[in-house]
Amino acid sequence: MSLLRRLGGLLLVAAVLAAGQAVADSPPDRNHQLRPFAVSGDFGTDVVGRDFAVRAVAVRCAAQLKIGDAIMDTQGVWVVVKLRLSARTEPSHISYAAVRDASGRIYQTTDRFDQLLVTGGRSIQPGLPVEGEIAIEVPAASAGDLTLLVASTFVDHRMDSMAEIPLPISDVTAVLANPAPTEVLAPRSAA
Amino acid sequence: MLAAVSVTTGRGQLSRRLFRGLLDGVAPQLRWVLIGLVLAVTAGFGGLETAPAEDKSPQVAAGVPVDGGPWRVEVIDVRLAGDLPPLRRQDDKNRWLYVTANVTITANESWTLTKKMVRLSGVEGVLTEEPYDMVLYRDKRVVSRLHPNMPEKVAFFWEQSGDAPVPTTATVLVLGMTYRADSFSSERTWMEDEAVRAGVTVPVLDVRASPGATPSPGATPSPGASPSPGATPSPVPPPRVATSARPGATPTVRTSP
Repeated sequence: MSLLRRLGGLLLVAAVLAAGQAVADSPPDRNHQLRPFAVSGDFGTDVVGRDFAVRAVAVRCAAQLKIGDAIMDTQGVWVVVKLRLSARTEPSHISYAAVRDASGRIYQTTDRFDQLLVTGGRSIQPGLPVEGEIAIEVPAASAGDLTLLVASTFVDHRMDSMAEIPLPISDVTAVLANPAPTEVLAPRSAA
Repeated sequence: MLAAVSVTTGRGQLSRRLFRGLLDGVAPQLRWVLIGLVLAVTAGFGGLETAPAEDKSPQVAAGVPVDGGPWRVEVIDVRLAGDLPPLRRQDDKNRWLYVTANVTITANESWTLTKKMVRLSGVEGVLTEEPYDMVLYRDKRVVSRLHPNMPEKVAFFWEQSGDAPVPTTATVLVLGMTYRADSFSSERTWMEDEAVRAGVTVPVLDVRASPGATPSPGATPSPGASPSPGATPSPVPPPRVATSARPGATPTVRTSP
């Protein structure tokens, strides 16, 4: 009897451990549990995150950028998005901007020139919105289905808000055929 | 035999002496039988096979793509250069060694830790393990971020002491990362591993006499020479080092539509 009770105890412990492992292995996985809180909104409207609001005002594509005196080409296409950013209740910074294509690949803003608006370099005060443009290079084939991602966090986006705004880009063929360089608007007060 | 055991010794020593004494008492040859038995058992699982040599990363030729996990690196060549302003050497006698490579980000998102991709081996007097900087050939500017599925030709720079011998060959080690669950948080992410994915040994091309052969920042006009009229002062410095120490000044954007 004693042996049976011991065996039963061992089996019970094994069953509890197996059940725990099954729960841990079952979806959603840890990455999914800790994913950013997506705040979706339409192009041209304010999308409000935890500590900021962002509005994608305009978007255009270009084969080349003119930054100062430099002309910057790309093997893909430049996506230039005009943003209007505002802080909610406390001074804030936007430290991350990217686009996600239809296959899930994420392209961050280029670091080939400074983009202070979305790299934490521009302090945004409540009630004093800031606007400016950002530039991201993507493969031309990806440009037709892009979603803009904006967050105030720099690297660790876990369990914090991230704005998601679909970008209305239809065709980049004409842009690539006419590679006229375009300038990028620096951050400025929009109040 | 047991009488030889001292009760003043530690517990571990007591156990060992007691066990040895019992073995000798029961059968003096038993310990050798046991050792032979252990060897026989381990031999069945390959215990007596020749151990593989350590740190034998595969060698590949220049131009062969090497998969590093989130990146794929194709080493083209290694060159030796002298002064490359505005890159700033610690000593005027020092030299620059740079590796030219085609790099493709195979991860799902833009990659910023590009200095983790390669190391230089077989060269004396290299001042840093990581590359000092990475320059994009496309516009001769220092960058640290590359984007998925958009291969770029880049150069990784190391400073070499002028007191060290001029290298004739160098081995470029392509490092790698593994996408796996973190042991503590269970989050799946790209983790550094110690393994070198491949080594590429190539001759070092000395281009000190032909500076035009280098991705010199002077090869393109520097936007920093004509600063944008209203570059916005920033309370937080941008994530770059001073442009005076970089091979490409960081251009600024215009301030009016």
